[in-house]
Amino acid sequence: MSKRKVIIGIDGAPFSLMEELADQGVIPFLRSLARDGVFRPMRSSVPAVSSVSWSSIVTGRNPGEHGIYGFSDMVPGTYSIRYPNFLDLKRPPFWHHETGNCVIINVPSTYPAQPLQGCHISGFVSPRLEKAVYPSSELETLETLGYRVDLDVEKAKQSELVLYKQLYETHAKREELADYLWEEYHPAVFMLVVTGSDRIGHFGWHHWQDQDHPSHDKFLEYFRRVDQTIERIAERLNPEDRLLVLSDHGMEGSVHEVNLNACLMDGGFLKLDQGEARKYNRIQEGSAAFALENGRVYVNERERFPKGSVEASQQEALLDRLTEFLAQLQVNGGKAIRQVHRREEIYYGDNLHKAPHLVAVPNPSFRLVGRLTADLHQPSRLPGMHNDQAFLMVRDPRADEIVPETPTVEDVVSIIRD
Amino acid sequence: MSGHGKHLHNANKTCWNCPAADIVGSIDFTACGQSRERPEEEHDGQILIECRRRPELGTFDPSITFEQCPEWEPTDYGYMLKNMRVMILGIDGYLGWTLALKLARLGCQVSGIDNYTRRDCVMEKGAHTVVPIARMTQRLEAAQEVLGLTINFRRMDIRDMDKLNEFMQEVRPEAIVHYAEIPSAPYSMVDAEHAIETQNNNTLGTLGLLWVMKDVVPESALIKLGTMGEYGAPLTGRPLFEGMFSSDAVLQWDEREWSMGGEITPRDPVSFYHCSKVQDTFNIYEACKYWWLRSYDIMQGIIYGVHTPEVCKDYRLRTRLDIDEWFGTVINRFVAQAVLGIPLTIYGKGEQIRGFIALADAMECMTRLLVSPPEPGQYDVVNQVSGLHKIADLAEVVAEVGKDFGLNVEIQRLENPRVEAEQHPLEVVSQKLPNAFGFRPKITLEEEVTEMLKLLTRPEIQSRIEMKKHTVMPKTRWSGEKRDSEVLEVYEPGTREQEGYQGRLVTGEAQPTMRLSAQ
Repeated sequence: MSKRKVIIGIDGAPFSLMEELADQGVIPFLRSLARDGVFRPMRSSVPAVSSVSWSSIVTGRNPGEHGIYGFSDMVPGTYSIRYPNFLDLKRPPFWHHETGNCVIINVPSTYPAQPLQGCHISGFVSPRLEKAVYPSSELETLETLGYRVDLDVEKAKQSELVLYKQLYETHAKREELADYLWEEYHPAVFMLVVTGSDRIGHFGWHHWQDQDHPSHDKFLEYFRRVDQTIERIAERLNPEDRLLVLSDHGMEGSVHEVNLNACLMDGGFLKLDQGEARKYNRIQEGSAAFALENGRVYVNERERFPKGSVEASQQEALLDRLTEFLAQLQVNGGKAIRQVHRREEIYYGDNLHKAPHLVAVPNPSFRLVGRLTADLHQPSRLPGMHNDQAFLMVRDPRADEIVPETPTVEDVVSIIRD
Repeated sequence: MSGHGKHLHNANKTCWNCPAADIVGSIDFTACGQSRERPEEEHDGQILIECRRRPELGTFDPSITFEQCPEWEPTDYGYMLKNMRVMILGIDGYLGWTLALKLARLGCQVSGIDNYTRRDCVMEKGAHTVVPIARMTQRLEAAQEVLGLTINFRRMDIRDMDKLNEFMQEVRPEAIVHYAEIPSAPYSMVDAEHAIETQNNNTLGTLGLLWVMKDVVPESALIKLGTMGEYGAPLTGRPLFEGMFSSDAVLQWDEREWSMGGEITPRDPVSFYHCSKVQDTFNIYEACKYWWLRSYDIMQGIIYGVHTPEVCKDYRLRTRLDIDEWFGTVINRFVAQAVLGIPLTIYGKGEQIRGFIALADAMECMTRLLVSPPEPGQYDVVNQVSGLHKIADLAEVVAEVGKDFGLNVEIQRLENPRVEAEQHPLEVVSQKLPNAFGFRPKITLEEEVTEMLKLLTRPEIQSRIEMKKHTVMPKTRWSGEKRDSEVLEVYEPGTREQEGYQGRLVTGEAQPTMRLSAQ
C-alpha cells in the first residue's frame, strides 16, 4: 500500500499550550509524537483567524492568491457583509491533487462540501448540514449519528455546563464519524480538524490559566480526549505513513476589546448615520475608511463602495495618515496595536485587490473588533483571543528534512506533498 | 410607472425585511462560533442568511438595501419584489378580489383561497350584492381574458389546516393578505349561533393560519385586516395611537413610572365581531414574539366605494357591494338609501365619529405595506384611515351629491340598535402610512360618492337595490331583540347646526412624548 497522509488539526491550540499539556502528561500520545518527530511553533496567517489560516494551510497559498481575508467580506457594490465560503477559495485544496480516496472532516471554511474522490464534511461556518456533506448519501449517516458541525455558540454562552457538555458531545460524535468514514473509505488522505479546542480557548482560557478554577479539570479533560482520538487514528497507520498534527493559530488571554470603527470615528476617518439604516449602510458619504473584524481596515473607495468618496489619487496619503493614527492608539495607557501592515507588505497574488488596505495586529491582551458603536474600548467579553503562535508536529521518517525551521501555515501543503 | 427618480420610501429597507432572506443561524466572530439561535448581542453576533432568489451570494448579513438589490424594482408604490408571490385569504370578498386584480396587474404572482363564506352569509340573510358579481370561475376567466392575469385560486376554508398547509407549501407565498374573516358587527350580534360562528371563523381561522405559517412560510409577511373598531371610541377622547405605544410612552402612578413602549394600546371593542379582531391582535402579537413571524395588523377605517381601475374594466371583474343592515358599510348604505328614496338612516344622535377610507385608497395602502414588509419578529399596527367623519355629516354629503343625480334625499334619526357612544370626541393617530410608507389619499369622499351614484343609478343596479329594499332597515339589536328601530326624527339636509365634537386625524411626523399618568 502506498504511503498514507493523515493531517489532524487542533484549531486554535497555541504551541505553548501544547508544550505545557505535554509536560503535564495530559496529552501523552502527542508528547510521544513530539519527542519522536518534529514539534515546532508555526506562524499563523495575518490576521490570525481560522478562515484565512486554514485556507492557506489547505492550499499552500498566500491570501493574495486564495482570496480569503477573514470570515467576512462585502457583497460587491454594497456595504453588506457576506461570509466567504469554499466556493470563494481561488486556489484548489491540496486533496484535489492527491490520488486515492480522501476523507476530509471539519476543515473550517470548506462549506459547502464539494465533490472529491472520497468524502467531505465541511467545518465552521456550515449553517446547513445537508450542504456540508459530500456525497449527499452520507447525510443520513450523519443525521442518525446526531453529528453536528460545531457546538451552538449562543447556547454555550449561557452556561459552562452547556459549554462543556456540547464540547464533549460534539467531539465524541466527530470521533465516531471519523471511525466510520475511515472504515468506509480506507482513505489515502485523511484530514480531521478538531474545533472545540478553539471554542474552549475563547470561553475557557481562564479555566486553563487558573489551576484552581472549578473548570480547570474539564479543560484538561477535553484535550485528554483529543489526544486519545489522535492516538486511535495513529494506531491505524504504518510507520512509513506521514502524520501531521497542527493548529491554525494560537490563543492567549484577552483583556481589552478595542473598537477600530469607534477609533476611526474619533480620528475623523469615519462618520456613521444615526438613523435606521442597517449595519454598514450607516456609513456616511465623506467617510474615508472603516474596519471589519480582526483589524482589517478598508478605504472607502469611490470605485468600490456605494458611498465611497476616496479617489485613487488620495489613497497613498490617506493610508499614511491611517497607519500613523492606528499605530499610536492608546488604551488604558497601553499601546493597542503592535503593527500596521499595508496589504502589499503581507499579501501577493492575483486577488490582492480584494484585500483590506491595512491589517492591524494587536499587542497581547488587546482584541481588535469592528463594531458600529461609539464605544472605543471595553473589557473583553471573552477570556481568550487568537494570536499567531500555531504549532506543527510531523511524524515521518524524513520529518527533519521536510519541515522548515520556522514553518508558516503556507508551508503545510509542501510538507504534506513532499 | 412614474416618479421613480425620487427617493422611494422603502429604498433603505434591507434583506432583513425581505421574504427571500432565509435565516440560517448566526455567527459570533469573537468566539468563532455558529448557532441556530439569534445572537444575544447583535454587535457580537451576525445573523446569517441565504437568499432564496440569489443563491450565488452564499451566506451573508441581511443588509443589502432594496435600492441595491436587483430583485427589487422601483414602482409607484416603492421598491417592489419582482414577481412577488402574494396569497390572499378571502380572495372572493369585497377587498380580496379588488386587491387580487391590482396586485396581479402590478406583476405579483397572486394566489388565493376562499370558501365563499361572504356569499353564503349574505344569502343566508336574504340579501345580495347590488353590484352583481360573477362566479369565481368566471372572474378568473375574465381576469385572464380582459387583463391577461393568472390568479391561482383554491376553494377552501381557512380553518382546514391540512389543505391550507398543502397550498402554502405549493405556493410558498412571500406575503399573505388575510381578509378571510366574517366582517360584520351586526351579523355577530344576530344570536348566539352567529356570534359563535363569527368568532370561530375569525379567531380560530387566524390562530390556525399562524401555526401553518410557522411551519411552512415563517418568512412570509402577514398583512392582517383588523379594524378601527378594535379601539372603540373612548369617551375621554384619548388618542387612538397606532396599536402599540411608542418607545417613549411612560405610565406614571404612585410616584413611580414605567415604560409602556411596545405594549399594545387599550382596546375597547364594540361587538362580538370586534372582539374577534382584538383576539386576533393578541394571537398575532404573540406568534411574532414566539416564532419570529412578522405582521402588519391593519386597523382599517370603514371602507366605502366600488371603484378601482381594475374592477371597472369589465362587468365580470366587479367587486361586490352590499347595502343590507349586516354587511353594508355606512356610506355604501347611504348611497343605496338615496337611490331608493329612503331617508338616510343615522343611529341615535348621529354624532358618532368614525375613520373612513375609500376602496381604491385602501388598496393603495395595502400595496404600499406589501412592498415594505416588517422585520422578522416584528408585529406592527397601522391605522389605515384617510379621513374622520361624523355619521350625520356623511349623510349630508351623500344628500348633497345626490342632488346632482336629481335625488331628493332626507335624513332620519333612528333609535340606536347598537350599544355605543353617540356623542364622543375622536382623535386618531395615523402617522405610519403617510410618513413611513409614502401614502397620500387620492380620492375625496364626494368623488367616490359621485362615482357610486353613477353606478347605482343604472337601471339594472337600481332594480337589484329595489329587490332587497327590505334588508336595508336595521332590525338586529345589540340587546338580542329583532325589531324595527323607532324613527326619532326625519329632517331635511342642511337644516342641522354643527354641534358636539369634531374628529382629529393626526398624520404629521412629530411624535409627542407620551406620559400616561395615573395620578
